[in-house]
This record gives sequence, structure tokens and C-alpha cells, in this order.
Amino acid sequence: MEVALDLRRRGVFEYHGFLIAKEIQEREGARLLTAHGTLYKALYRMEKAGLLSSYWEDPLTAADESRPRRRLYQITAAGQKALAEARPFQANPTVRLEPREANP
Amino acid sequence: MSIATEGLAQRAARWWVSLYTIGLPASIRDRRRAEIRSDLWEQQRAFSREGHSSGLTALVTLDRTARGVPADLVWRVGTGDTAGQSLGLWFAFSATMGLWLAFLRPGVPDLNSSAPALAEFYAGKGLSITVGHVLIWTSAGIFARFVLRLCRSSLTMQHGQGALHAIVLVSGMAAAATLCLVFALTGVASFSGEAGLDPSVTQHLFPLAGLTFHTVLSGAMAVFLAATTAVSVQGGTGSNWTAWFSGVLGFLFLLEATGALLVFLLPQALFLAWVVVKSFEVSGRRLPHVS
Repeated sequence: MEVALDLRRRGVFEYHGFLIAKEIQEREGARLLTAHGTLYKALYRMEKAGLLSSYWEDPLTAADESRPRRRLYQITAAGQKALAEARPFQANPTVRLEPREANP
Repeated sequence: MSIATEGLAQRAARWWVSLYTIGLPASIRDRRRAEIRSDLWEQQRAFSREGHSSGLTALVTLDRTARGVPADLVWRVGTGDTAGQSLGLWFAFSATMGLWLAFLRPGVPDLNSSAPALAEFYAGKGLSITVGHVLIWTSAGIFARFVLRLCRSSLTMQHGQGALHAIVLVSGMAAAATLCLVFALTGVASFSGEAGLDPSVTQHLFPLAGLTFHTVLSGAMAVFLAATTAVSVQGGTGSNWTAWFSGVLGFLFLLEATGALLVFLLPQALFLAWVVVKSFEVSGRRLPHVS
């Protein structure tokens, strides 16, 4: 999700699976690219949860560049909201939720 | 390492995705296969632009595929259609309960006993054996449905996705063939002879049918493999041969599985009929005479 938002800030509003894997690798300084299974399982689940949306690009675009069609992902409003809510916990994992006061 | 190695690694990755998506709804299956295909292409292009060797690209492809296997399997289990998962559970339940009720719970009598003693033994467990057989036939029906779906899926496959399907089907066929032989040669012998079934049927006809069936099918397989190999070696016309290969193998698998089931189930059906008849006879003997 962070990667999706980073790409968006850099003006990339739609991204395919391999681009996300590459961004994760560069962001985290990882030696290995994310495995196919891990990457696409996560994308599939995030899309099902409404955090991402996706569609197949125009076949003519792919044909023009002589390559397979890309599945393009975008972060949704719900995804951005979920990420904003998760940020405080990412910055300080020891933060704990205070119990709500009971209504009198 | 060469470009050929890179191609092989890509093919392995595509075969793996073809394998674990078998039986999924077409929309989910085709999407996952197309996404991996696109990913592999993008990776190859990116590595090529960065000046990496074909060998490294192949290694990274294999590494990404292998590390993703657990996630692929978890995804596969959680993604199958609900109806398919329910059927899978029904199959497991009915097969296990059926085998237990029909064979394990009744136990094995002393086969040297006299015919009336054997009849008495089985008749006393007639209900358990009958319910067990109904469950076994239910699981056989679910299995037949699965095989039909597998065959249909392999026939609609596109070029380049067929070889691993073919391997899976051949392995399945080998397992089915083994079952066929085992049951044909040994499965029916214990329910024959003095127990009341005609030994010429149970001890000779079914084993012979099983052996004939298996021999004919093995011969057909050998001819088919020789022909397809010749076509592919000559080249030029071999572009769609993997799809054709696995399509025909799908049908052979269907034949083999059906044959194995019949060789196993038909003698069991005869046995069940015999148990039911004997149960009535024995219970009739036990009824008090009304004067």
C-alpha cells in the first residue's frame, strides 16, 4: 500500500504487478524480488477488501508494444484511508489503543 | 546459462501456475495465468535493459516461483469455488466413512469357514455394509465429476500451458492403472467361492477385464506418445502439440479412471447384492414361527 501511494505521489497512478515487486525491492533494499505467489495473493486479497482496484489495459496498447496485456492496479479511496489510519502504528508499533469510555 | 535456460525457467513458472489454477472458475484462473505471463515478460525486459545475463534472469524466475509456492497453495485453497470445496469435503467424508462402514467395521471373517458361517457373518453386518457401499458410490460419483472437469479444462487449454497438465494426467493415470490392477487381481477374490458368489465371475472375469483394459490402454498410450514425439521432432507442425497431447491424455485418463472404478465397484455391487439377500435369508430364519 505504501508503494502504491509512493508511486501515486510520483505521478504513476496505475501500476502492474512486476512494477510493484520492483518498487518493494528498491524501497526496502531487498536482495530478492517478491515471489509471484506472495505478490499476487496479496494484490488479490487487497482488491477483494476494496483497498485496490484493477483492470486489464487496452489490448491494442499491449499489441502496439508486442507484449502481454498488463493488469493495472490503482489505490482506492478506502485504501488511502486505511493506510492513513495504519500510519501511527507503523511509526510507533508500541502505540496501544485506549479502551473507550463507557457511555454513562 | 543461455536464452534457452531462461525460456525453460519461464515455462516452468507458467506450468506451475497452470497446475495450481486447474479447476478454478475461468475468470480467476485466466486472470492469474495472464498476470504471471505478463510479470515474466516485464521481468525479462527489465533485466535485459539492466544488462543482466539470461542465466540470472532464469535463476530469479525460478527463485520467485519456488518461494511463492506456499502462498500459491494457500491462495488456491481459499479461492476455489464454494461448491467445489463442499464437494471436496463430501468426497473425503463419504469415501472415509464408506470404506470404514463397508470394510473396516465388519472386519474379515475366517475365509476357511463354511459357506453358511460366512453368510451368517456378513448378514449380521448387512446394514453397515449397505450404508458403506452407498457412501462409496457417492464418492465415486464426485470423483467422476472432478475427472470430467479436469478433462474439459485440459481441452480448452492454450498452447504452451499443456506439458505440465500432461505430466499430471500421466501421473494420475499411472495411479488409476495401479488401482485397476490391484483391485482386478486381488480385490474380489475374498468375496467368492464358498461364500455364494460365482467364482468364475469374481475370480476370473473381472481380473481378466481389468488386465485387458489396462493392456489396451497402455498400448494406445505407447502409440500415441510415439506419434506425438515424431510430429514434434519433425518440427514445423508441432506448435500446438502440447495442447493436443494433454487434451487426448485427458480422455485417456477419463477412460482409465472409469475402468478402475468399474473394476473395483462392480464386484463390490455384486457382493452387496449377495449380502442383502443373505441378510434377508438369515433374518427370515431367525423370525419366530407363527402357528
